[in-house]
This record gives sequence, structure tokens and C-alpha cells, in this order.
Amino acid sequence: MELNALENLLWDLGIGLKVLLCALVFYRRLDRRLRFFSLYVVLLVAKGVAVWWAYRQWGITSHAYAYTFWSAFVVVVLARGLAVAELCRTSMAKHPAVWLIVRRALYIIGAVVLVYAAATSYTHRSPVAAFLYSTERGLDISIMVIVVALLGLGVRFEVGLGPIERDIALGIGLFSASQVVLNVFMNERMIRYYHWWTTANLVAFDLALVFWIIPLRKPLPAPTPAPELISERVAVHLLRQLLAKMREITEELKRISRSKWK
Amino acid sequence: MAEQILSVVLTALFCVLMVWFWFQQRALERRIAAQKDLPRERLVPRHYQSFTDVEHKLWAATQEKGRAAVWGTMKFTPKQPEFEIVREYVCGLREDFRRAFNIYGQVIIRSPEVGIFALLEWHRVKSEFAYCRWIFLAWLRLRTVGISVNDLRELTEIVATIAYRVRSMLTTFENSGNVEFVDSVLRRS
Repeated sequence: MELNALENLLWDLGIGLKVLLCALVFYRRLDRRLRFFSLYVVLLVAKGVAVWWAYRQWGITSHAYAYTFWSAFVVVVLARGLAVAELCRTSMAKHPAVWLIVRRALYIIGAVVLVYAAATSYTHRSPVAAFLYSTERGLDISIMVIVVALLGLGVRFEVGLGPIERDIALGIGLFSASQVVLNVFMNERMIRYYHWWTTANLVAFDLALVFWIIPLRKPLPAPTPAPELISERVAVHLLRQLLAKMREITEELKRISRSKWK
Repeated sequence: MAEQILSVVLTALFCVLMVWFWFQQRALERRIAAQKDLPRERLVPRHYQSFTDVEHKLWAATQEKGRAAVWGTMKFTPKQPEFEIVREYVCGLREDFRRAFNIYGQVIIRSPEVGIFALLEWHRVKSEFAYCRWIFLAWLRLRTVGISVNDLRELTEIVATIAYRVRSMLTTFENSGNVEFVDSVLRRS
């Protein structure tokens, strides 16, 4: 099944946007702040060029194209996962207790995705393709959940991500959401709508690229200063005192409310 | 098909949450920048302390009009001129709670130990539940049957409790010589 004119146009536009994004990432020195996201952008360009070249050279139905596509796909999916983990670290690592919880959650999510992918590919005719497909699906769902949790935690504890990190997180999250929806509808019965599916896929990714390009038009704002911290020993001692005080206040309130009802 | 629809609905829900949180984070950034130069007294909860003044104003207003009813349960509805005093006071309480809640969050998030963080957060969640219940009732009564002085007192007690907790926190840190830490917490909340 060859790509139609619109899909070719969107593909070319996508490559152009990826190159522009890559150039902006290095021009604005974002690579110093978000290394894995920058690596992801570089790999996107490399994937775009490699897949485009394989498509022109061997056609979309060839084995060579399929191998090129899947190899590039695995690398890019892994890089996307790392970029999200990096966003979590950038925003939460300044807060030791929360970062410990977030880190554990990330390990658990990673393990669940791999177990899910292994379980779904076990009985499949082509286990490697099924494993990769399930890993991507699991990763997309996880990224969506992680981005919501990251932004939500930021709002709850008033520890906002930096403006650029926030836009990148939203772009990755919305792109993953579009992938989840598109993958839900991509099955054998829907094969006749393959061109619609491909077009939607390309449009979703181009939109994500635009989302990342927009904040990079201007110089990067200064990184959010780290919060004022006190030494670990003193902090633990004072917070224990506070906890005891909170308990005292709660007991006192209970006593007052009991005396009110007597 | 049901599974597909569920997936799409859940994904749409996540997208809405993502965008909503994104806007909240932008608003948070703007708010922190706006309160950079505010005096310290305005960064801590303060409206709840004027409850007796508000009660006094309401009492004076009702006495002038010669309204007779049991004071604690007398309803103030949007049609009455003194309702504006009630509405402003409830707005002030809302701001107080938000400030106290944020300061509390800023302190506990800097905890180096997960256990202490979880226990303090549990106290915060309990205050939040109590507040949400009463603020919802207040919101409903302000728009329907009217709000009574007893309702205002209940809401004030909840806000005063969390404000007291926050003051205890800040005093503990200040007394241990961490004045800069307290300032940083107040500026970021």
C-alpha cells in the first residue's frame, strides 16, 4: 500500500519540522538542560531520514523498509520514554521524598509495560512485532498517565515545571494520547481506512512538533531556581516536631467537638 | 466496540486533565511572579481573623432594620444589602484556605523522608476534605436559601485550624533560625 499525495506532503512537512526543531534545540542550548529530549529530537530526524530513504529506495511493502522502520521505531520509542523520565527528574528531583515516590512509580510502570508486552506477544504468530507494538501501546498509555500525574502533582504542591518543560510535557502527552486513540482503531477490520489512519497519525505528530517549536522561537527563560532547603538532619527533626504538634491539634479539636455535643 | 469507546473516553478525559493542569501551572507561575513584592503579612491567611467584626457588622445591619430571628440561624440571602459583607468574607476565607494549603504543601514537599511527608500530607488531605464539604455547602446556600452565621462560623473554624497549623509550622522554622527558608516558602506559595 503506497502513500498518497497528502500523506507524502505531510511526511515531508514532518521531516522539515523535525529538522527545524532539532536546529532550534541546539541553537537555544536546550541540549544542556534536557539531554534526553534533545537526543529524542536528534533520533527523530535520523529516523525520518532513514525511513524516508528506505521508502524511496525499496517501497513501503518491502522487507528492507519494514526492518528499517521497526529498528528506528524501537530506538525512538525508547528515547521518548527516557525523555519523559528526564522531565520527571527535572521537576521532582529537587524534592527528595516526592522524587523517591515518583521514581518507584516509574520503575513499576516500566515493569508493568514490559510484562504486558511479553504476555501479549507470547502466543502471537510474530512475537517480536507483537512485543514492539504492545510495548509502544503500553508506553503511550503510561506516558499519558505520567504527564497528567506530573502536571497534577505540580499543581497540588505548587512546584510548577519550567515553561519549556511544561510545553514539552504537554506535547509528548497529547501525542501519546493521539497514538492511543489511533492504535485502538487500527485492526484488521479497519484496514480499508488505512490512509485515513496514516494521515491522522502524521497530522498528530506534526502538531506535537509545532507545539515544541513554538516555545523555542524565543530564548529560553532562566531555569526555575531550586527551592531553599535546610539540612536533612535539621529538617527531619523539625518535621517530626511538627507532626507531633499536628497530632496534638487534631486531638484537641476532637476533644472540643466532643464537648460541643455533650 | 465497548472497549474501544472506553479507551477513547478515558483518553479524552486524560487530555482534558492534561490541558487543565497545564493552564493551572501557567496561572501558578503568574501568581508567584505577581506576589514577589507583596509584604509578608499579605502572604499568610488573615481574613478569618475578622470573623467577629463581620458578625458585628451583620448584627448592626439587622438591628437597624429591626429583623427578629434566632441570630445563629438567621439566613442572609442575595436580596439583602448586608449579603455583600457575607460574600466578601467567604471570598476572603477562600483565599485564606488556598494560601494556608499552599504554604503547608510547600513545607511538606521539602521533607527528606517519605514517611513524614506521607503523614503530614494525610493531615493536609483531611483539612482539604473538611474545607471542600463546607465550602460546597456555603456556595450552595449563598445561591439558594441563604447562609447563616453558624455556617460562617463552621467555615471559619476550618480555615482557622489550618491557618493555626501553618503558623505553628512557620514559627517552628523561624525559631530554629531558618528565616530565609520561611521567606522562600511564603514567596512560592
